[in-house]
Amino acid sequence: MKVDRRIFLKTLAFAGGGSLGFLSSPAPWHIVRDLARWTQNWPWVPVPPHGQPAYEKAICMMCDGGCGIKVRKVGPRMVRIDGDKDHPLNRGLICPHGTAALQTVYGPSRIRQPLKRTGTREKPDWKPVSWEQAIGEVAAKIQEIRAAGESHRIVCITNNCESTVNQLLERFLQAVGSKNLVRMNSGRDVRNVALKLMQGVDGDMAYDIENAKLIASFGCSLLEGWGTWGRLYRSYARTFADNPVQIIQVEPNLSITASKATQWVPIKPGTEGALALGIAHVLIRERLHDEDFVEKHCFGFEDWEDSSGKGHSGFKSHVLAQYAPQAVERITTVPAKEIEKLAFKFAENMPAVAVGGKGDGQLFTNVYELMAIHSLNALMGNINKTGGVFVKPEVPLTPLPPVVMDEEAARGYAVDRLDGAGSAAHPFSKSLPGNLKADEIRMLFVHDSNPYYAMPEQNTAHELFEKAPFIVALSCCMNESAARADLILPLNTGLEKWDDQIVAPDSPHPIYNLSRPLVEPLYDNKDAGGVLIEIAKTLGGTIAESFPWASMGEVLEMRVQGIHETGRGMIASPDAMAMLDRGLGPEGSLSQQYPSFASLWKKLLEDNCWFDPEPHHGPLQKALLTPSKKFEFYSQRLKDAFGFEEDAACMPHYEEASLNKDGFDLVIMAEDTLTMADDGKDTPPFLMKQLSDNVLKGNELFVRINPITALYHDLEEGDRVIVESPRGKVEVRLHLFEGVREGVVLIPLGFGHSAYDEFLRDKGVNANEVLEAKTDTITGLPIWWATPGKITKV
Amino acid sequence: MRVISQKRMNSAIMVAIFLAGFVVFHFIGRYFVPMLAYTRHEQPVDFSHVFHGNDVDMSCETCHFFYEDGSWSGIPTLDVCMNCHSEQLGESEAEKVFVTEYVQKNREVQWELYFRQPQCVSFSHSSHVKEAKLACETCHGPQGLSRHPTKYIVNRITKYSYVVYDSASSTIGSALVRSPEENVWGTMGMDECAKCHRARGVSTACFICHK
Repeated sequence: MKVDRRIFLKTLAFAGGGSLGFLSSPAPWHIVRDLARWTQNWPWVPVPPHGQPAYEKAICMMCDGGCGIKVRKVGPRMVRIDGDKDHPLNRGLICPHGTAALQTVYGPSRIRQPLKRTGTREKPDWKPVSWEQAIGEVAAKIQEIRAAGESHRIVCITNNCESTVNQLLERFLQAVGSKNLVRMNSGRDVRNVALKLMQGVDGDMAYDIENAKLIASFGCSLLEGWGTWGRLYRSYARTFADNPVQIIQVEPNLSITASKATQWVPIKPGTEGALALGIAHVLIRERLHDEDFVEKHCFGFEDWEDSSGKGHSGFKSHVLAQYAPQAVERITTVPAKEIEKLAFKFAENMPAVAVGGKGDGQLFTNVYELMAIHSLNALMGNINKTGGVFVKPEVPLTPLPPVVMDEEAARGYAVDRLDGAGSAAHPFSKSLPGNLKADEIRMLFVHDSNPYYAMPEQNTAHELFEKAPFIVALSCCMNESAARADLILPLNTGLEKWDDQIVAPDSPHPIYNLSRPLVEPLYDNKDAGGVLIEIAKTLGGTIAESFPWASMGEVLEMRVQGIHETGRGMIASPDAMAMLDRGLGPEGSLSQQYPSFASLWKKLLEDNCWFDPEPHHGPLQKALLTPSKKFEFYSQRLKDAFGFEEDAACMPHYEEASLNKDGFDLVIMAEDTLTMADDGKDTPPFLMKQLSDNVLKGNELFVRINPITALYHDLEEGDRVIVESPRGKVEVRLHLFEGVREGVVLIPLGFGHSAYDEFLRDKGVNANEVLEAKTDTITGLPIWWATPGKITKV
Repeated sequence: MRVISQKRMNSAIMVAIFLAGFVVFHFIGRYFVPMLAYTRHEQPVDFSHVFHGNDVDMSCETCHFFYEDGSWSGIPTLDVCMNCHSEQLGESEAEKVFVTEYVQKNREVQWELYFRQPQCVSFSHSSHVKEAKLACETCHGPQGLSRHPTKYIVNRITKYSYVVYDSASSTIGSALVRSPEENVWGTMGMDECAKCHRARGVSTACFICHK
């Protein structure tokens, strides 16, 4: 049809009228409104389902700190975590990891069913298998190794928690015929050795920081992961209270703890032990120490003669001769006057505790450093005293029944540990994963830990996972270690499983945390305890006899009966805690409050925590089990074990850390941060989002140096550099920060994962790639707090 | 007879065409577009509020109640229904469908929800019912008097839903558009919320609803 002018005009008139007509109707305005509302209901935006809300108490299992949490649930789904105000340790405070813990439950790196590797360890393919097949294969492998008389070559690397699961693992290995339950090292290990050497006790140090007036921290990251975060943050909060505590932070760099402490004492890296001895010098010289305690309960303070009549110099003359403030100033760079002041401050604010173990406790210079720090506690008589240092008390759980062993089990169990812990070379250590050798292992279990990533002895770890003939990972997430296993037995996460924490680190009170499933397991996963019971039953014989229980819940119920039988302590219920806060005890003893075990068990399932506000530490003699039955400034055990001729070698003394190496002009130090999980576990995405652009930008990690260091090396903010050590090199970027000591390169731990989910994988570099782990001659533990390094611009 | 000039005639035709366009599109905008924009769904189960409330003499709180923490239960889940309906009660077809299709299969009824606010709005039943003492009917209409589920009418674009209690209302969309405050209740828009807040002297600051 030909469109002439008339038709065009008519069309125009119709269109014009139509437009006006449409505009005069409500439709266009409603469409605009509807489009705006449509943006609020986009179907691709996930909406949490509705359901019945509920709060349930639980235990945070993100670390072994033992904080109590309150989980908000909507229907069957957990939606939020808060601190539990009624938990005696953290009283409502929790760290960011605890807050973000739900992301590990619902996160994408969970393993959803048992998996069998089909590809190579470097490029694995996974085939889902049934639990029956997975457990059958593990049992068959164990049978094969036992038949070959090599059960002592079965090794299990596990986490460092004090838990019934770890006891069951130990029991399982014993029933099979192996002593090799190897715990990942933690900050407690070196403190345990110091305690063993000076007090003769096999156990953990416990600090009564709640009642201390002063906490002298020699490099401990008190607010960044040392001990129980919730508990230590409460101590920090007390610095503002009516009855305040002072925190003195001795540390080379301005960490979060240092920035929040009452006083920060910057110090030359690795010389914390010398400063402790300098303080001891002033205390002794000015007779500020507890002379009565030292005289009655200490050995090796004054000069002494042994049974053969040979004279030995005592701690007093050793310290007075060598650690005068001026001499210590030359070592530590802390002014002599400041050392004097620190000593007076320490003595005036009794009770005070001196705590050691840099970072989260694992970063120590040598065992003498810890001995030097602990000697301050003894000098002031603060052993087994309110506000001082205790030996951590036992929780009165029913012990597991004796293990039934067959002939092969007895043979294998008699063979020494493969990691050399407890041997003549390292008599005081209990676990040394860094000493494991792949060619001595026939089967390796890895339980709830990530040695491939987290072991400071990275070469050993990598060799283990390359060469160990058969690796079984018990893990809830696909971490670096699980990714290199032959078989993965997937575990429930902390909020889906039966588990417990037998003691909380560093607390002088006996505390028992019971963890029960808050939700049905999301996937076809099991509890570690349950898996062990099933493997034992499949193996049959004496191994099955050693595991008579049906489930992990049953094991825990049996153990808690021990608490009921003692009738001591209280359940951390809101009522009981309110009474305690008012200075009143619980209404009646535990047996009066809960006459039947069933009532106690029910209450414990609700409130998750039993503890004893009156710790019953007993007489001082129970905490002094050395050969002299005294606190030993001169450790006779050390002398007996290593035959040191020099007196100083058996006493706390300062040894210079060897950080000088040709061609390396800087010191690379590991930095423990609160945000990042540095034990190989995953850091939840919420926390990754907290990192500022000068910590991680894109996938690039920043190391921090002092602007003066940068000036000398012609470097600027944001430069891309190679940080190199004798161990290796990594490419990172630079952030200049005046709080870092000159000559130090501060590299944060917890980055550079090659496993887990997209939020964590390939973010930055693993600091362990440049930090060189040396072995402490006495403890056998890795020393990796610092390493020589250099920086070159890319 | 007056002779109309060709020119005038043409002008009149143009005006007529213009008016025709106006009327047609105004009609489309007023009646046809709402018909397209809104759709009706049937509720999956024929539920009678009157029967439960009057004949069985249950109180509203049996199914609709506040949890301990003050949050609102909303529409009951199958567990609540199963307190009475674990087995078939009576012979009605609706009951038979409910028991065989949902109770016996332990399948939640996917009720179409009339009043859900979008995620950007933080709405608390507690503060409106307990603090402001609003009657349920103020927002939900006489839902409690329904013998059969009222038709679920939803806007295709927004997913906002409406209830028309006036059964004579034939053109759904137009009813919604024409008389929203008379016989139509539904997902509250910001205007309705703000209007009520203003009338009662309650703050209309953004953060009151958008946390």
